Amino acid sequence: MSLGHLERDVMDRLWASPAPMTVRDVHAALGEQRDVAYTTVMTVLQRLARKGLASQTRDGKAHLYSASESREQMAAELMMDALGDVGGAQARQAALLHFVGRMSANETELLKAALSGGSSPERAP
Amino acid sequence: MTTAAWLWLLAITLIWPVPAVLARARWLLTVPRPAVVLWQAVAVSALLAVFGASLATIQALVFSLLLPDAAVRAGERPASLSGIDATGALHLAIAAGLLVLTVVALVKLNYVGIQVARRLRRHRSRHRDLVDLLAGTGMPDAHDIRVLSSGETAYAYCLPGRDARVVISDAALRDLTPEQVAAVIEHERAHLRARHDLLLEFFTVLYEAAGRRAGTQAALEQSAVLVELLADDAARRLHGPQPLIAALATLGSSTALESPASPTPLTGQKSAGSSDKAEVTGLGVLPRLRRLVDAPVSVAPPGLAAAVYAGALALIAVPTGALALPWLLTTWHAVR
Repeated sequence: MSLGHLERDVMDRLWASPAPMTVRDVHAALGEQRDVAYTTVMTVLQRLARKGLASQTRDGKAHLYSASESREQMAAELMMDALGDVGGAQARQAALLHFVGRMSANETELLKAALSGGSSPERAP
Repeated sequence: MTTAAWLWLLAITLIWPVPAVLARARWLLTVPRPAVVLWQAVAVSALLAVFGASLATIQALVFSLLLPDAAVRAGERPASLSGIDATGALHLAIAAGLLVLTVVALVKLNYVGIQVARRLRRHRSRHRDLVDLLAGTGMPDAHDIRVLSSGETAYAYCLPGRDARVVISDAALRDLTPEQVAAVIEHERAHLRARHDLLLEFFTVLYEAAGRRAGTQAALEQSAVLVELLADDAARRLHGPQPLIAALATLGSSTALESPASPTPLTGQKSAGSSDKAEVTGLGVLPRLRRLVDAPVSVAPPGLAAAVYAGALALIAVPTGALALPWLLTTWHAVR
């Protein structure tokens, strides 16, 4: 069982829970399906908090964990980021390297010509 | 001319005309690997020339008022600072001002370097966390590949750095044939293997530190195109050119649907703004297409690669040997 999979499962519990959860809560919720050590759950929650995916608050002695954003918000951020780096002035300084950016109509035309086995784009205007 | 004058001339040449000419040189795109080396040599040589020219100017100004030229040539010790006239004081002030500017430029270069490195790594780290959390692993035997479900948008990209990922959207998996998917993934893995991100990061730092002047912008844009050509070369070695051309068509036009319906520049319009923009948004699609349609070996004239490598070497070696070393030696003799 990789830590990555466990992180996803723990986040699923946090998203599903209406209230912040203690390590014990998460451990119990996960325990319904599989056998995970309490300390492992604690480590995973701390990792998630360090990454900013979960937020950690203190209630007396216990640490309470909740998802810092909803799954939908995170998915939207990820999508915006994945698509936002395409094209534009920022493309050259981008954190992500895209296979291809937005093509102009001209570029699309030349591509179609090349695909249909036509002339080399060198000879195109 | 003095050493300082030669170095200023070299610096200005490397900052403005050389990048402008190289950016328009189509033949350079036929030899992407040597071209990448050449662009780096231009950048390093320009940096050395700028800072060398500043130091040489400061040294010349200070020496000129401490002792006459003849004394410098004879290797005599500089006189004391006493007995400086008004012109001398002005020279000293210019030298001090230039020294401050040089130090500020060096500090800025380092500061921007750190800022860019932190920004890129923070951005990638956050993106990787989200991808690992939300994307599926999708494909068997490929631990570095993540599949994002994002509706109708077909795209693929790589997330460089330690713990790198290749991300492909489920729409791309649906729209591309397995062979095309394999070619796209090989293209992205070539970026990751060769650490093309570090090359682009280097030119991003120069671009942001030196402003959007011709040289830095041309270097950044051209190196971005060149690494795409190199990644295409790696992918076509395994899969041939056709899957890549088809994938370019599918992914390029799919992403275009997302963009607002803006008037795209027509072929004939060569006004600087619009044609540049098309080139930027397409991430060098036309040069890639040219190279994919023609065989990469046949498009480069014989000996061009060696000539470009030699030019890159000369850019570093000739100024160092002909200007910097003699200047350092005479300065050393004069001070000793």
